[in-house]
Amino acid sequence: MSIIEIKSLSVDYALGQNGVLHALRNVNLEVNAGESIAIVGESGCGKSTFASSLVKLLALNSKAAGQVLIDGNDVLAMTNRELEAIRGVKAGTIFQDPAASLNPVFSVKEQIEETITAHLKVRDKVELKQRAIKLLEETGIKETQRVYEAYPHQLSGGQQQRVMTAIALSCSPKILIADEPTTALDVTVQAQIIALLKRLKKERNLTLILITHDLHLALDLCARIIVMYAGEVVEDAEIKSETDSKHPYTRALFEIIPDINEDRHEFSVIPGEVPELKTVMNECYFRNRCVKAGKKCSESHPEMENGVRCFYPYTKGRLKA
Amino acid sequence: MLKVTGLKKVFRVEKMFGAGKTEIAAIDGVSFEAKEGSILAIVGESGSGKTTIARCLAGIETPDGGEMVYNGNKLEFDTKEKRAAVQYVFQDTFGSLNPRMKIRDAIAEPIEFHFGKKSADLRTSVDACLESVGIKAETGNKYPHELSGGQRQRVVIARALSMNPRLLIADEPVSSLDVSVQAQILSLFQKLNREKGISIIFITHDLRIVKSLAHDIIVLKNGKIEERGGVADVYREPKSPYTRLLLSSIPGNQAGSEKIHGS
Ligand SMILES: Nc1ncnc2c1ncn2[C@@H]1O[C@H](COP(=O)(O)OP(=O)(O)OP(=O)(O)O)[C@@H](O)[C@H]1O
Ligand SMILES: Nc1ncnc2c1ncn2[C@@H]1O[C@H](COP(=O)(O)OP(=O)(O)OP(=O)(O)O)[C@@H](O)[C@H]1O
Ligand SMILES: [Mg+2]
Ligand SMILES: [Mg+2]
Repeated sequence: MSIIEIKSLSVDYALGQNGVLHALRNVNLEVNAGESIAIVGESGCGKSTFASSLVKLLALNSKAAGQVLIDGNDVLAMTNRELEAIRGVKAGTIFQDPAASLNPVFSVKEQIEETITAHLKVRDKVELKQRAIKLLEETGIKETQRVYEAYPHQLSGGQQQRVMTAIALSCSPKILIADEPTTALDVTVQAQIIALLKRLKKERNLTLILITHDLHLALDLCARIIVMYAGEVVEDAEIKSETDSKHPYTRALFEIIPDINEDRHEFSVIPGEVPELKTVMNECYFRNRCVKAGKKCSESHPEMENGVRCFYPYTKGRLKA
Repeated sequence: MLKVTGLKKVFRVEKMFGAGKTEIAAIDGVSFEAKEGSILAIVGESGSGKTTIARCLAGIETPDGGEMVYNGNKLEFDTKEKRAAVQYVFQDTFGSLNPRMKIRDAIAEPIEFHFGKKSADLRTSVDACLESVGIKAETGNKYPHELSGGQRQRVVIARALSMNPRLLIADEPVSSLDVSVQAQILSLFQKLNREKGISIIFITHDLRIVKSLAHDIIVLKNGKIEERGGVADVYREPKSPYTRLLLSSIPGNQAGSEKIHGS
């Protein structure tokens, strides 16, 4: 059964005199319990907006339409009290910017233990501390006692990020929404977090929504990859490598990853920029940057079909058009 | 050339329970050289002291020991010229731009202060500065929150570059950006290094980027240097077990043996 069901989700941001930005448009998605999905795409394509919608933590100038059903209940229609029961307990969240999401005036100890007390009603001091230290250890923190007592500004970027992860996991949520959870971590610590998430998937049947710009991380943790472009899902498929992907945009994302086997070289880019959508146009939004763009692309807007939103998709297995 | 010898920084924090203080040796006797006109990458464990080194070099943190010598003179920040010569790009670009100041003014302010430029002259400099990082002059009229992450990052870099630094220290400047925007910024660094001979100290945990960008590398662990050398050499034949572990843990690196497989 699907644990998350998203129906026609759209989110607009009001830009004052400059109109309205359509950050998410008509997103439809079903996620089964225990499934892992990765959401990838360029900066500004709506990934964080999507993550925030799942727990209704959207900016004040936003307007959401559609439904986000978690266990059949619409999160977007919930009161604050009902949302409290979802956030943390059912769905834990790791936000993109740890420095901004941790509270600077509370110690790590206070922030973790308060979450556990609020949701799980644990009040015993010894038990609270045991739980907190264990969570910190699991996220690969070495000097757990010092980090436990520290305030956020006394920690390095990667330590802050792992404290966020510990808080998100503190109430054993069924769903984990992780927005760029490893950007500040070196590869060895990243591997530890990956191993932890894999273990939780196995032991607790955790449902993982991973948001990342790192395709390798996405492929390692998730069988199903959702590619977003300009606020829309453009590919939703089981992807194990570049040749599985059908959308030219997904292929382009693979192509520009720097090659580890080459010494200093030029970096490749996808020419052009993600359009900021203020008006809805009857065309493919990627066409100006697309190597496969053809006649149809400027005449109408492609719909999702067989997991891809494209008039001229690649067929599986063939690398070049 | 920048020569750092025996650099030390100890943080002292109050213990939460009981009396006394905990001492954290964030960097513990670090020595290295950055050649003029080259790109040096600093990589290493989370918490190994990378940001602390950068903050010492930029004069934000006062070291507890050691020396930093730049082209024969002690690295100091006591004059306008010396302050301008070394520029630091913070990891958190949102925090380094004033949210109530237009992009144009944020760039104009230091140019006016350091070089005494005014009115039309100042305007031309700001436009040129934005253009050098591929941002349209009209975008200068926006506020920080109206820009995308990649644009914001380029603005911060543009501001640092407007000081005509000889040395640029960049702390994880691209880690939260997608690969395409990353590539734009890295290409700019490459260009400045080649064409203007700017030296760059580049802090990152992305070993793919290091391979593509840097000439030399130092690997840090627990506040000490584990390994240093030319990038090609260190990648071909890493000497320290920690460097070997780092290289073999790169996600998607088929050559890596200790990669965690499957899902
Ligand atoms: N509060 C807001 N007001 C106006 N525009 C916003 C607001 N929040 C986000 N946006 C815009 O909405 C779009 C989507 O933003 P979002 O943060 O979801 O992108 P993202 O895919 O997470 O990008 P990144 O990879 O840079 O984190 C962007 O164009 C962004 O500038
Ligand atoms: N103001 C401070 N007070 C106390 N300890 C600190 C302070 N700043 C940093 N530290 C500690 O010093 C050590 C080095 O921190 P630093 O930020 O230099 O690490 P880093 O290598 O940049 O790590 P990351 O890759 O996670 O950003 C860490 O253990 C950190 O907890
Ligand atoms: Mg985001
Ligand atoms: Mg750091």
